[in-house]
Amino acid sequence: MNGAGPAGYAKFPGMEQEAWGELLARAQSGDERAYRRFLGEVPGFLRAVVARTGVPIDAIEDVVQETLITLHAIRHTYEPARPIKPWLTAIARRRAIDWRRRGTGAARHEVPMPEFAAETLADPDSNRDLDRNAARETVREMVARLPAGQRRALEMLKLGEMSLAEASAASGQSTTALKVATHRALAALRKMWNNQTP
Amino acid sequence: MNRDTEKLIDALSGNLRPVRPLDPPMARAGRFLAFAAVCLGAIVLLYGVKPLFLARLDEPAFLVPWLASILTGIAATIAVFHLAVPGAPRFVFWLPVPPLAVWLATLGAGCLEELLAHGAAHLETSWHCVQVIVQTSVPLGLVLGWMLRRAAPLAPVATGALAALAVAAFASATLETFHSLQTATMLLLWHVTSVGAMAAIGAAAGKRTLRLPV
Repeated sequence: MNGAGPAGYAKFPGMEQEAWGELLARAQSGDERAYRRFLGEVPGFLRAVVARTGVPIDAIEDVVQETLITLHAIRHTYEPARPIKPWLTAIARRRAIDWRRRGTGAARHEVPMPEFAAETLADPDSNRDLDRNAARETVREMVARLPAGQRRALEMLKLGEMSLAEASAASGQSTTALKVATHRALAALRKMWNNQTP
Repeated sequence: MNRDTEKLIDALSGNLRPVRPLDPPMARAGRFLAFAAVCLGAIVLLYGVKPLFLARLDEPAFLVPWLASILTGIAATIAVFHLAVPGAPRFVFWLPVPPLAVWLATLGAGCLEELLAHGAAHLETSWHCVQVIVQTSVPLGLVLGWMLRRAAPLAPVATGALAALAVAAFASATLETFHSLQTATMLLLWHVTSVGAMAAIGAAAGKRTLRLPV
């Protein structure tokens, strides 16, 4: 892993960038080991690109993950003879812009919590059992709000405990599509959970 | 590394399916240009070249904007196929601008000259031009869109607008061979306006259809 520190402001020697191009070219032919190495090495570089776009530090990892999902889906658009850095940079910047647009939209409906808000909040432990039941209901509602494809993937793989192969056979979707849908579903649930107001 | 990112990498790299990389943008642009040349050539042969068109090829005021419209189409096609994959150099976006500027400037100069000499008396409607440009552009544009189906344009609006500009510029140049409008003013009014409208439609279509897969 090349990234140093949370924002990954590391130096990336030219040799490694050339190697990334070769690794991705091999991944295009189906070489899993090369692809795993490629995906393991690029996040540091992606973090640096995303950080430079002004995405706040606590959101960088989300954008990097979205970038990884996108570059996986469009890995056939990388032309092996060309430098890989501009290809990676363009995708990461695009995802950072998308994140910022979504963030601007959300910010319009959110109100910052005042510093003295803690005085008005109840003791979090006082309603523990009640909260647990409420949380179960909340999660159920959140799952229901997911797009149909993501919900189905989540239900089959996480709630139904089906194997990838079983879920793929049942839904007719590829295993990669199911993995991506599940990851996105979990990310969406996490975001909904974090954004919910008590 | 973040545990979620590690899990994601495991998920993405497991059961990896081989993919066929896209051909280089210039090769794909060349293929579309060859296809367009055959289709437009067939249309010209079908309608027959007007003698007036051949006679006016000696006049720079006619020849230059006509050639510039073709070059605009070629440059826009090259730009589209480069913009359709991530990481295209920035200058590619501006490729069609010089021929487009020459096209508009030469027609604009001719238009001004005609208006000063004759006023607006010679202006008339020519909806046929709009009809032919739309009828030629749309099928060509659909083929171009089909060729972009595996692409991943990160600027869908610009890519859509340039794609429509390319096919509409070709349609306009083709139309001139068998439906020569007499004046630069009429060309500017009917051909260039139609091309502009097609580019606007292309921008809207690009926004809706040229999306990243995830």
